[in-house]
Amino acid sequence: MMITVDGREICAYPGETVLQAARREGIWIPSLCYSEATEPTSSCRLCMVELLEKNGRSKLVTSCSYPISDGLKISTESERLTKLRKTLLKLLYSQAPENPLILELMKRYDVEPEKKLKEKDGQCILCGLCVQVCKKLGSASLATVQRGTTKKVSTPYDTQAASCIGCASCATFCPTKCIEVTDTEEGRTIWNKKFEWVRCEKCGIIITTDKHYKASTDSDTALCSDCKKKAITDVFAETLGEE
Amino acid sequence: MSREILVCCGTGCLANGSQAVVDEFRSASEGLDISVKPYIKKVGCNGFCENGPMVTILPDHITYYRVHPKDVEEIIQNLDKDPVERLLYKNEDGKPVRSRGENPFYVPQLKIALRNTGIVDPGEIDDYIERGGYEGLRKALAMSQEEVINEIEISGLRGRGGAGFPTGKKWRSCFEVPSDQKYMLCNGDEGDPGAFMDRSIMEGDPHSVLEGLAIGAYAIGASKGILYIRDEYGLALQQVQKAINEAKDRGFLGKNILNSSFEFDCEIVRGGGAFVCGESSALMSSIEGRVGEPRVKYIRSVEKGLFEKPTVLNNVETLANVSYILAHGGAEYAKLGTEGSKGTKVFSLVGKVNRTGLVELPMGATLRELVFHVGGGIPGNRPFKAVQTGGPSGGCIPERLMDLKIDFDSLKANGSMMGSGGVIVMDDTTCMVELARYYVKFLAEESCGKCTPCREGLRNMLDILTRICEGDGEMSDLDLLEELAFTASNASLCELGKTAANPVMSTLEHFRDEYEAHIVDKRCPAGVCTNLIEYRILPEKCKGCSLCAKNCPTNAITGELRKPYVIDKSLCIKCGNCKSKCKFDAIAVE
Repeated sequence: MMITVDGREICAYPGETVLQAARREGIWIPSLCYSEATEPTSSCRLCMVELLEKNGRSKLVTSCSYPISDGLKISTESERLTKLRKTLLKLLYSQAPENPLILELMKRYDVEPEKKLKEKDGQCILCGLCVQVCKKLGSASLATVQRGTTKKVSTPYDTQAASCIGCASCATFCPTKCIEVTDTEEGRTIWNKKFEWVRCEKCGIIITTDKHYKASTDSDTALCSDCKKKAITDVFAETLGEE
Repeated sequence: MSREILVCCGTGCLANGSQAVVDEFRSASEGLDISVKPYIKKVGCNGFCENGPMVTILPDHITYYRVHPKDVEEIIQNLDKDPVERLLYKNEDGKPVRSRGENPFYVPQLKIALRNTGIVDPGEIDDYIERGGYEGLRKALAMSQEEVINEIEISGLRGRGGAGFPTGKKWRSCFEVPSDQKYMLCNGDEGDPGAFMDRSIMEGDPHSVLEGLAIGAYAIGASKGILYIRDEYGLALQQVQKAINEAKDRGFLGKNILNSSFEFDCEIVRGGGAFVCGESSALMSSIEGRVGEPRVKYIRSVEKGLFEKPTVLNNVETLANVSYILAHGGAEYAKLGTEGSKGTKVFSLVGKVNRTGLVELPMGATLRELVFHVGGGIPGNRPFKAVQTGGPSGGCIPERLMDLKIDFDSLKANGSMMGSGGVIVMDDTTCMVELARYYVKFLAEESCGKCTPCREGLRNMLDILTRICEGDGEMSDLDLLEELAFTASNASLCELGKTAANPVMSTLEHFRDEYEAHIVDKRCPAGVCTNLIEYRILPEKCKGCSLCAKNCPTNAITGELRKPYVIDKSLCIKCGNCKSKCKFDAIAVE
């Protein structure tokens, strides 16, 4: 299918969203809560674009979730979009002051922090990506709790989630890097829960947490990826009769 | 002559003790001869709750108000004589009104959705059937699915939950999607502060809703229905459940409905009281057992709704209209109302108005009729200031627009909306900045918190409005308010966020001078914002009765009897007790 983005015709596939097609073609649309790995939540609203309709009007849609159809006409820049993105960035800054990623976006759109907006503690912008990722991986240990201005991301009743395996995917995907993970020689602490390391039986380096390891493999021998490769090569070598 | 005594047992009247009135009627009439013994019936809400408990005597429709169990004996004794005058409603000129039909609160009303509410016993299915109930379903089942949809389209019915989407169009889109399973849902999650339209219908006439639900299910091809009712509505839950059981027993629900091949079953899911769960996709998410957050609706719920299956969601009042339309015909219904908005609308009229309650008017009636004819104007003849329509995310409409016709399109064109029908009247003692702050606070707490412009926009709008009310506002705050309002209404994910800034935008448009008075002059013209007002005793009016001093919680008022009293400003907490107690209007707010 062909769609037009900012006057440029690009090819898109059924089932894709506008953002996916545009990114593949190297067209810049800002976003914070989008990841290819999960269902879009469309919560940060930065990726909004104008959908140009046949009757000459235009409609604002979030490109991360708007499905492709043949002949779509999209504009990623307009006076209205610039105005909205600027305010959204000011609001995001008030939730995650001095956050490098948000500062970078503000620089790009030439926005200064609005001093009158009340700054929040912490750096979480409540995009919900951590919740989505955790769900996708099968643990579903995190959820947004409460609503309105008291909303936050947490484990059930703020206690240690039984289903958390300490994989720290939530922290990896977090756009503002605000999920606390403490890794020491002994183990990992994340979401109030402590995990022990599983180490490579050959070289002794840390593979992952015990729970994560258990959830990912049935193998009894713990090997790091390097040692695993080496072990397989050894098997091949043996089979082929080489030294 | 057989008589019926209808005792209103809606939530309002029950709270005023109507169950005791029913019990008293039953025991008082026990010994009467069968030829004169009245039939005592518990009915749903009559709408005039502030004057409850209400008792209506049929066949003459004599209506008594504020009935106490001790009045029962006298009523029974006067059944064949003149009505008990002291219990009748008194007109503005003090004349007693015999029947409901002569009461100025009811005269302009036209009851369609509320046609049975306050007349039938909601716990008796036969009562409903006797008044033509389930006739609409019977007619529908004799028609094809498309014919039923045509009938709704002809009627011009639009959704009564707020957005006003054409019901027939919604049904047709769902009908056209092939699927092994479809769902027909009823939205009974009424959440606007001060609104009780849907609650009254579910409590007083639950079968009209069930019938509408079954008709809708037949039209779109659904075999399963869910009524999502907020848990705070205890009586509504009870009555709807009872109605479901009775309808199943009588073959109006279940398999082979009315001897046809149509099968439809429904159940209740209780909502947890989140305002946002009245939004369609959040409601479905909640039924599925997930967090009640809206989703983007680029794929509509008529294609992929509850459990990813084609789903139609209609509001309680819409469904009560559906059963009427099928029974009386779409063309007949379309004769009522305006070009774009057909039929009637139920409003809950509250605030600074003489007669408050539940009102059903034909679409196209003016706001003036609603507030001044039905509502009887402002108490104490104070000046009218504005009326808020559409609940917390609606907008306020000033005096100069009072002749505006109430319909979906004209309200929207004037910066407000129909919403679910909440109408709040304000007089000169209402501060419009404080009003905006109140609504924004409600919405900030009730926003689901998923998207940035709504959650953070509301948080900051509340902060700014609070600053202005406390006298710390600056003129540049107004620009920031407008910027945040623009972003919330354009960039939010769902309708709650898109309309959340309406109270701010409409008060800024119509009452900017009040904002400026708070910011520039540090003055609250309505005398509400405590940081900006001072209470003072007017010596020329004060008689020195000491009533204010006795009622002052901080002992800030002192003086000598029969001489003007004075307020010590350093001790005054501006609670307003003195002003409300003073009989000589001697306390000024400045």
